[in-house]
Amino acid sequence: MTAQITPGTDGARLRHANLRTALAVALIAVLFFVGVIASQFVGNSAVGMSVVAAAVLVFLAVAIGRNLRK
Amino acid sequence: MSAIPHDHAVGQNEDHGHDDHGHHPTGIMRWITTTNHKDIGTLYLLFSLTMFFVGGCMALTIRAELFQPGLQIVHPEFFNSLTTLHGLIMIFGAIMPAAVGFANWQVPLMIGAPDMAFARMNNWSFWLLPPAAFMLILSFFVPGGAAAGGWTLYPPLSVQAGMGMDLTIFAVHIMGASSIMGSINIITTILNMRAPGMTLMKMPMFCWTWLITAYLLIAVMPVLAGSVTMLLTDRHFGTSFFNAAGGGDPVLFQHVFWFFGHPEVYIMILPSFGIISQIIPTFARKPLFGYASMVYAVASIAILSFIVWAHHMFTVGMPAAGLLFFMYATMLIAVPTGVKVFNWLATMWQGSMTFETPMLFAIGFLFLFTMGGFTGLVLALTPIDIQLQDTYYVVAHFHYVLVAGSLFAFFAGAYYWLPKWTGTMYNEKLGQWHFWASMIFFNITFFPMHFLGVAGMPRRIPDYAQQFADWNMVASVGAFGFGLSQLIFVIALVKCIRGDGAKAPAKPWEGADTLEWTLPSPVPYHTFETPPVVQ
Amino acid sequence: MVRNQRGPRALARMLATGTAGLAALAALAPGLANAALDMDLQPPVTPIAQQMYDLNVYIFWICVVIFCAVFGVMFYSIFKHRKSVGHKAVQFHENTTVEIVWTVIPFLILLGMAWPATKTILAMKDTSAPDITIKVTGYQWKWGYDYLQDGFGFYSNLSTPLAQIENREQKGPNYLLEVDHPMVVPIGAKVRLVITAGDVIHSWSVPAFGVKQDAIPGYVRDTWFKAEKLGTYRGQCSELCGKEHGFMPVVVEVKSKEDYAKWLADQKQKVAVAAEDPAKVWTEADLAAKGEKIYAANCVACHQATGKGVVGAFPALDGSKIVTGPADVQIALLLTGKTGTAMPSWKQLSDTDIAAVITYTRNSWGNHTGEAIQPAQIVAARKEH
Repeated sequence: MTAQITPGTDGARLRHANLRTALAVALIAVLFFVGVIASQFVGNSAVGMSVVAAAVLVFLAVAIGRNLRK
Repeated sequence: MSAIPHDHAVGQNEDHGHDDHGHHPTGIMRWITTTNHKDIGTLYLLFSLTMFFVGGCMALTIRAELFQPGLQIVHPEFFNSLTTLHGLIMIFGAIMPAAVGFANWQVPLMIGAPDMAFARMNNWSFWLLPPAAFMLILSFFVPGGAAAGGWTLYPPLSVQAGMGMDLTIFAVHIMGASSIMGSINIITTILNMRAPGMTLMKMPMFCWTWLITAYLLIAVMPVLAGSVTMLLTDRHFGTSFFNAAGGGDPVLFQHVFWFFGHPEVYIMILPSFGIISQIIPTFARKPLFGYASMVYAVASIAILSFIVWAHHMFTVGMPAAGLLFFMYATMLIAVPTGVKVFNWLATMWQGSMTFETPMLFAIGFLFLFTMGGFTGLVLALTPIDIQLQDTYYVVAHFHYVLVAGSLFAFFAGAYYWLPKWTGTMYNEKLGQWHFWASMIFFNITFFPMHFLGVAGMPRRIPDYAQQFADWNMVASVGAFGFGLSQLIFVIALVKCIRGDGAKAPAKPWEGADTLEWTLPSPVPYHTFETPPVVQ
Repeated sequence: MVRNQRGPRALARMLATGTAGLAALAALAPGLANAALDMDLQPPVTPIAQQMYDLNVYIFWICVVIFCAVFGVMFYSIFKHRKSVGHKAVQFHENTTVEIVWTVIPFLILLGMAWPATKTILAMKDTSAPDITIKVTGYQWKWGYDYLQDGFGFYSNLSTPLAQIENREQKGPNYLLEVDHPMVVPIGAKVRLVITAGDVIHSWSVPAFGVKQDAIPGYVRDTWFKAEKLGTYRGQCSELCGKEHGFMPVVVEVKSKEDYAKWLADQKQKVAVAAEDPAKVWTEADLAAKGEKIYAANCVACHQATGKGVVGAFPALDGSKIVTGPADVQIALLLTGKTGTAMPSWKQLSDTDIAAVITYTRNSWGNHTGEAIQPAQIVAARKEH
């Protein structure tokens, strides 16, 4: 997601890009919350928690790592 | 060019002809309905300053009780509530909102954006905070009193507690939601709204540190929310997540909590790193040394921060393999942190430095935060941690990195940007007094706590054995001095806001080179509606 | 990149020279170590504590050297590279070599610290082949010690008088660090502790032994120590456990093998004598007298010596409906505690002790029920709760 969009002249495109970013990020937050609690109910809780923890780590590595290459 | 603000805090600039946005509400309604990032930044900063004093009063009550052995002033249960709320208020009410306040003010200005991506959500993110703070303070007055299990809320103790704990849990949920919304805003703004030509690797370091902090917040605030929700259901809805008798495990809470808790401390320090990275180059009149490695260092600190959480739990009874892994991983964070310290030093080296108040606080940060880093390294070593866990050594460590670290950086940033925000230069003499008084009293308060810790004094106790008396007395005197010193800042701030001082030019700092310094001081209410082009 | 005499390479050279110089200084002046007394841990009495002590000194001096080197350079720079002395800024802003150097060298220093720490961790966790095993249980707010192999146990309560805490009396030398019944161990024996808790998380700690282990309700963790000097060693609960967290110290007496054997025999005898027959019928006066002692050790912290409690926090017993009403209600309350409040269950006390303390409350202050609650009533009530 680059910033070659000049706000004001391309308002609608920018708004859509912003919304997409925001929804993606919000979804991840919700997933982590649900995951923490669900991991206690589904199967072996230690395994479940580790899955959530790993997902958090992977998210972070990808999210930050993608930006480092730009 | 710019009218000096009178009744309203900042940015009220009638004579700039932006009448197409014309009819802004004034007075209270302005502040309640604002979607302007500058106004919201101001709200966050003033809220944070208020909570700083509220939490500070709690700290002074604690230190008053600890002035001498024996119980003189408060009951032990109330003392525990004070330590708990002091922690919660300082972390969630002072440090984090201050960082968001700086982000709101500075990120759009530094990337050449007209405002944050979601201006209305920005307003809501702020206004969630005062009710949450109110809930925390209210909890002192409900039957059973405020939560008293430490800010870490470990069960089963926190399951035993009364209504005050529930209020705390709700407040934490609300503040968490505020942080998550704020982070969504910051990520979206930084990724999508940078001015043409400003690639990520050309962005000011402050924006980088906030981008990474925002990702950390998205990752961990939901985890905290999950853990306190489980606490709530254990308390009221018959679950046994943390109750051995029901098949659960109290230590599970510690794992989940610290999985949030450790990245949280980096959330509290990374924005400060960003501020320092703006200030030192400005006052050394040299570019930041090693920009790319500074970015990589922050990224690696952020990622590493996720695999060290159990160093808060070294005495819980982990197998040796766990102790070893977490010790090694924790020690590893010292490497990128060291790189940052060396890079800041290299920025100063061979510069042409002047020592106005922002630079004084930045150097104070460098000196004292590094000391906090050393004690962190000591605590990382498991055999030593066994002796120091839950003692005053830990209290000393985190106050060095959070107060002399985060808070000093925030003061540096405030003095640095106040001329831009208000159009008035702060009083340099007052700034210097504030710095030296803070520096001296901070060390008088917290340095002796290292001695108390190695001598064996536990934390969170209202009364202590005789051999700890002398240093406690010293620390208490220092604490009152430190608290009073902060009033100097309030005076300097009020003078600035009122316009009582020299008029600030667009660029009061000779070595400053980021986008906000191309704007007039005070900045107009709306800026960069046409984005600048960055070379 | 600007090749410059005064650039980042010079900085790196300066750092290296500074560090070397200071390391030499530290090595040549061992007497300086005494000056840092306040940064030393308590004198160690076990081999593990000795390792922890030594590691702390070692790390401390490494940190001091690095600190002096780094901030020596910083203060030099602050003095020399100032606009006010006319210094002009040299515009370098990167140097990959230097960056690699100051990434690798700290990493190597960390390796040097990790090595001795690793050895100590492995030693700390080896609880095999103990000579004695003692079970430690943390309660709100006291410790319970059970000598599993010898079949007896006892509580260890803070013995500092309330009057000292409330500043009505002069504080004694072991203020807040003294108990009625310390743990006793023989010198030179490997003592394994199995640690748990009865209510919330506590933490058993004796700095002189290098021991700190969380006590977690429902779980058992172990640790060990081998004391090599006679004496009395003190520590405190190290995990916030409520109101009296600061008032439940740990005291261990290390005796010679002969003295320990004598103490052990003594304890076993006391147990035999004190194994009171729960069928025994007591007089009200005897029960109340015994109950007063139980009350002072267990109830006074919340309900106060006056029985008036603390308004808004702990209910008064003097004039309380529960204490003056039907006895079975009060008995049930003591056996089960009251969830959602700070009133714990007291079922771990003996039948006689519970009967005694209830009798005391029912016949003290303004309460005059005239009732004597017998141990047999407690035995019966336990079956229901």
